[in-house]
Amino acid sequence: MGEAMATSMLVGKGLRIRNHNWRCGKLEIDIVAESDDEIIFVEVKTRQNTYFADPKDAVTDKKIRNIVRAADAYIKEYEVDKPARFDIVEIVGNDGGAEIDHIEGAFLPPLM
Amino acid sequence: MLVKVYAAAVQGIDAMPVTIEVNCSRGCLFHLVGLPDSAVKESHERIKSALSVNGYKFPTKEIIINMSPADVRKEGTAYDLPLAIGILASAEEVSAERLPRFMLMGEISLDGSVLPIKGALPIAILARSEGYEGLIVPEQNAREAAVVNNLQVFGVRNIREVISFLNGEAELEPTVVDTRAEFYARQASFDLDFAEVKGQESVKRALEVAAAGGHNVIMVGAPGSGKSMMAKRLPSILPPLSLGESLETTKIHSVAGKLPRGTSLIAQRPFRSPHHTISQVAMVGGGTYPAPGEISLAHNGVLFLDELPEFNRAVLEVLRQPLEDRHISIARAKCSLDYPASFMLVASMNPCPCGYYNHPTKQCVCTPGQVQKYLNRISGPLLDRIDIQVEIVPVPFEKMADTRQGEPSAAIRERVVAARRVQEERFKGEKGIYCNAQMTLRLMNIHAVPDADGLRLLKNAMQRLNLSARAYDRILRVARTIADLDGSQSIKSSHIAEAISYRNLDRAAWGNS
Repeated sequence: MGEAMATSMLVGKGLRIRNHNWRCGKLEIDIVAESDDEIIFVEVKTRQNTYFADPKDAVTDKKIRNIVRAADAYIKEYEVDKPARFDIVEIVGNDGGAEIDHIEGAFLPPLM
Repeated sequence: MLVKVYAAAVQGIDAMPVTIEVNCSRGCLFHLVGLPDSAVKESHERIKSALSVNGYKFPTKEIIINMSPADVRKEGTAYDLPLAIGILASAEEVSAERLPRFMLMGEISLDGSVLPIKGALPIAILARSEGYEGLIVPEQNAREAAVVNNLQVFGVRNIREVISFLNGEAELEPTVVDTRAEFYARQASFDLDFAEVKGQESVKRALEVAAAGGHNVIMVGAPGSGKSMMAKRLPSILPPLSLGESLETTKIHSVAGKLPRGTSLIAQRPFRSPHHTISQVAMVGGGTYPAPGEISLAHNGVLFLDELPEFNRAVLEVLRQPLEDRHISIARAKCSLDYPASFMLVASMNPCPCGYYNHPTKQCVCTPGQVQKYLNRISGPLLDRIDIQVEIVPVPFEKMADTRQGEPSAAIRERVVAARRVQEERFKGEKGIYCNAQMTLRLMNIHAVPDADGLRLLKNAMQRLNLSARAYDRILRVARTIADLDGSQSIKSSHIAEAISYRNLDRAAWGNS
């Protein structure tokens, strides 16, 4: 449910969706989108509520490294020459109603 | 695009070139290789923040950075600026055209301002010898680096200035220092002067002799008798630093990061007085990445050890070798470095645990054994390297209330400089020997032979005062300096007599009466 909402929001913002759940071995990127001058890797995190933590807090250091590694593989496989951007889309709620938050450029690749 | 940025690593008191190669290609990983330590690795975070605050984008491409030579460990934060510029240039956000002509160093803070670094002077010397047109350093280090001529030194405050300079959008103003004029202007002004010392003529004279011959001194006296006060004024009567000496001393202070902001050359001899709780490493230098210690910071100046017996014995023993060799080599598993350490040792101590042994008015409460034990805390070999031992007695009230000024330092300094000139002439042909204190036995047999009267007096004194053989050649050395101050070719009995008076601790009677 979360990823569908995220997709429609990204499309609403004028981005083109290239892939859903693109996998490279056991690494996965939820959504790969593209604008005129950037390629955007989106991690979608959905939670029922924020009693314990914000969804974005679930994107840990280890998770970031995995996303960056997968993105690197993606860029090399499809020979993309645009600069990369890493976004997080947070969705809080359930079928009754959900809030959606789009964090652009949520992180940069760490030192490997 | 592959870009090269030129930086430097400081090793010992010299710098060596470091080339930072940055390659940007398709991908999004970030690699930093070439043996960076953790402070260099952290620079990634600082650069990210500094660029975003200043409105530049950190490129998300595959960035591979190599710091070559890759086998030398790169430490410290001074690589932030060259790394940041390299990353931007490689992503073609900054023009790489001017880069090969400049060397750059600097630490970056999160808002992009450039913070001071250590070792700017040796880096500037390297930049000139490697033939770079200019050096870009933090503004606080610009004057220090500008001492080097034939090199344009640019002091910068913010990474934006560097970027617009490299893009050719704005020019930087080179820092110019008239080194000589400034150096000579600041050489004669001292905060402290011997004219402020009331009485104590004999101790002043002893310090004058010590300064003239480069002898090490120990002052023994009751608490509050003015030992530290006089030691602090010693640099004001030492011969002025030459430009060459100053450059060496400034280099050491630059590497240690101990130069005050905006200093160019150190114009006055350093005076270092470490507290007696100092550790061995702090004294001679060392650490995982060796840094200069107190003895190197005192290079060409004075190392003052207050309350000598309170120092850890091991700390005092490590002084022995540098006192002879005038440099210290620090060997660690990772590297071995050499720092110069040519200093004059000035020490002070109480005569006994209670402090009043031999005091004119107060009674000492120590037993002879205690006095002896206190003195024994200083090892023979170290005491052996101290030519002048002088007792210092508290100034009586009449003298203290006297408003007349003593002899000013400038007058004493003139006599010292004249005596040093005689010694320079004498040791012209000898390598590494500049003053009487450094005379070898061979030279003493030529230059320090007393006349017949003097010899008779010396013989008498040796027997009467029970002086040791060790004291014998110390006396001759000091007598040579006294004769030089006197302008006399031969060593006369009056010179010998004065020299004998500087061997207080050698008398076998010390502590037994």
